[in-house]
Amino acid sequence: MSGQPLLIFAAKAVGILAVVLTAATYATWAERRVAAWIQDRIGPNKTGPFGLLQPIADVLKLFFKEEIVPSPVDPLLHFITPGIIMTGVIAATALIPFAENLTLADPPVGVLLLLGISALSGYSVILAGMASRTKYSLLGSLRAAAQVVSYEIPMALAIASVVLMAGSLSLVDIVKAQSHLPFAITQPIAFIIYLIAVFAETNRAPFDLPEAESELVGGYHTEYSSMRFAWFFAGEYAHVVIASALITTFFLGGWYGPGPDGVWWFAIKTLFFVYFFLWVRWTYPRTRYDQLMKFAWKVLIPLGLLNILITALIKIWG
Amino acid sequence: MTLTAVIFTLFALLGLWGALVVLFAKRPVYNALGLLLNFVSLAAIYIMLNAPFLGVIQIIVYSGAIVVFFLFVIMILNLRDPLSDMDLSFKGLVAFVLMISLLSLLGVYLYVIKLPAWKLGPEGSPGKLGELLLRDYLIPFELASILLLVAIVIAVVLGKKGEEQ
Repeated sequence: MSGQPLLIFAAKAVGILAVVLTAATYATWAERRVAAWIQDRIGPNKTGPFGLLQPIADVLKLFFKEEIVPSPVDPLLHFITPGIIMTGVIAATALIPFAENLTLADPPVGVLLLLGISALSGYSVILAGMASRTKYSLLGSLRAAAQVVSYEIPMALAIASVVLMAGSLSLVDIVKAQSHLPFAITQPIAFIIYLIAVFAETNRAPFDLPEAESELVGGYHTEYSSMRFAWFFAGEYAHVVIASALITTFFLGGWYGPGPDGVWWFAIKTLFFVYFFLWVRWTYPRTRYDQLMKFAWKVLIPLGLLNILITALIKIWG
Repeated sequence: MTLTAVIFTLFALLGLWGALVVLFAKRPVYNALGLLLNFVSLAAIYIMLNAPFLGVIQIIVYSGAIVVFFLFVIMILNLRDPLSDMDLSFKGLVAFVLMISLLSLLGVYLYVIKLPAWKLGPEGSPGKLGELLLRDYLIPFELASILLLVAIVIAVVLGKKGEEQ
């Protein structure tokens, strides 16, 4: 917030947050429409034009549903965990450079701060299962804990190559380093590793094992109902939106694009990746748990390390 | 009080609260969460001391990875019952003696030897830190890395041994 009046900064912050949360809300609508389209159905189309009021109807329904707190739960943990996921997503929003002059905060350690926030938001899933004290939730949490810790490493390794290329830990500098060529082209391996790891970090199919409904009922959020469940649900989609925005930032050159640069390029790229998340979910089967872990430790991490080594060598002698 | 002082006091109190929860909470989950609160507050204080890199690494490594592993272990061992039935009298005595000696050591450092205040200056940036680690302190840095590597190898070997039996 260098130099700008506090009021304008606050207005910007609220505006950006509103846009991101609206995008997250409509991601739930998009999920259902895309799923229907891929499965040759129609999907929700009765509430408003094209069913656009469906998310609002859903939220209202969840507000008025009875909130059931099962007796064995740990009340305090059960109460605070749904908030953690949203807190993480909202904190990450502050760091994303939407356009040249539309960034709320650009700390010199932005990339690391983002990794830290991502690490902390994993707690929502882990604590939700521990607070519930039922086997399905606990198994979901166990899977989530191992998965989040494992996939953070390839994700960080992929970002490290990007940081090497850009020579800076600031997100704005990383986007600026891509003004000619996005890192998706110059760093294809890092791009693919990051893309895969992000699916695991957001608990989305094919890596949605912490909430695999065929094995674990609802996984970590089995014992949540009403608005507390809605927080998890909204958090997942907000996470998808933020993750797409980060892919855009790290690998697709943010606001740069062919033709006039600006926030619209950022929006188009982000929306494409939100669609990509949905597309993968409805076309790709869920992996088995041991395959998921082996893939992280035996494929992604060595590949990520090798990629960093090659990138560093090219940086020195290239 | 300036804004900085208010924020510092807030995080200092949160950190202390976390530390007390670690010591006195009966449920292991809350002990772990108290530790988390302590780590995050400490990270905030590092950032306020113009060491953003250290603060963020504190969050990633300690809050992000280590406390997750603690929770993982608590989940696997299913430590849901309070630890009150443990015989704490002897352990408490040992802990008390260790605490007193640690505090007196700290007092010696602070008031007798008078350590100079650690000044990172305005250049607490990752670039500066990297330069220091990989140029001026290269050998200690690499030795620490090797020590960690050895620890990992030992952990794997010990784990394998348990499996065979």
